[in-house]
Amino acid sequence: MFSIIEMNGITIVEVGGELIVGNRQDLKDTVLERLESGDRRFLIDFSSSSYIDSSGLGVLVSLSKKIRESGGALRLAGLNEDLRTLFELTKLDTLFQIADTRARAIGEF
Amino acid sequence: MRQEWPGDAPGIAFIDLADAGQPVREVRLTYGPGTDLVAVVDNESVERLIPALAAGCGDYLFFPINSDELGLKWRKHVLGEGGTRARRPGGLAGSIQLEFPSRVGFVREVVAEVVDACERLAFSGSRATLNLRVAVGEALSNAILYGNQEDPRKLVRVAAALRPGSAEVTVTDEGPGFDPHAILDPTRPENRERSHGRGLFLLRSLTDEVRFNDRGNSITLTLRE
Repeated sequence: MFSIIEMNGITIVEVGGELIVGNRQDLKDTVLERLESGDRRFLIDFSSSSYIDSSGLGVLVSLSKKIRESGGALRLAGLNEDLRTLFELTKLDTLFQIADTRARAIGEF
Repeated sequence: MRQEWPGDAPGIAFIDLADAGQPVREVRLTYGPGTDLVAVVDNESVERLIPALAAGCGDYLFFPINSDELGLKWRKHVLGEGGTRARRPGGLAGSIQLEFPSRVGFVREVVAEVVDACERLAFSGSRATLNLRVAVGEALSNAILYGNQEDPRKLVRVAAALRPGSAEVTVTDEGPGFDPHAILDPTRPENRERSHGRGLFLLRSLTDEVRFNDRGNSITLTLRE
């Protein structure tokens, strides 16, 4: 469901399928593990993801806070139209740095 | 190959959902309507449970099987004691009735069943694949996480009525209920960094109507095309 790539010192997490109540803990554990082992720049790429629910949004909010508190940065990329709608409805588009594409997000670190 | 069951059909048959070679519909046909089918699921096969209930299983057991629970199923299905714990969807055309234990792993499958039925019977497009999908998912998550506190012995009940142009879905948990007015607005700047509290907000934003029962453990959401 989640795969990790490292590129130019950025930890890229690809979310495949859905980020929902049933798998949100896996994403949280995956990212926190990397944060503990010293990674600081994170990009979560939703290009292969079709859907996120409020639990998934909640995990992103809590990860963003933890990463920031450790002196790191989190960016998001590749949200489809439905995902964007959900970020906009909850006003989370104002909380996250969101780029259209992975390449653009990498360039903005 | 399907084989007819020789002689009298058994009162109960267990189907191991980890074994993909035992399609529930085939087993149903083999034994006929007199046999109660009980699905056995583990963590790996849990996503097959809702489709299995839809295909004719009337009950389920979690692996590893505990002998008390097995005894309970035996008495219920073979001797006819006790009430029904799992009910398959069906009944009237355009209605879905499902009960399932409070595990978050079921949310995806139950939502898929409801959205699929909506697309066949009520409406399609993003009102089904985004609005209804998110709203039902949030109602189920709330019932499992907050209502039933993820206690798998407690059930979540889903009743959906799907008519051309309209979908009405009721989700009920076994919890004490809550006050829907006590929820903070998650879009206010001071609440935006909270990790919880967006479910009900999304649900309300995406549906035409939301109603609660007096106790606050049952929510009915309505979406029109």
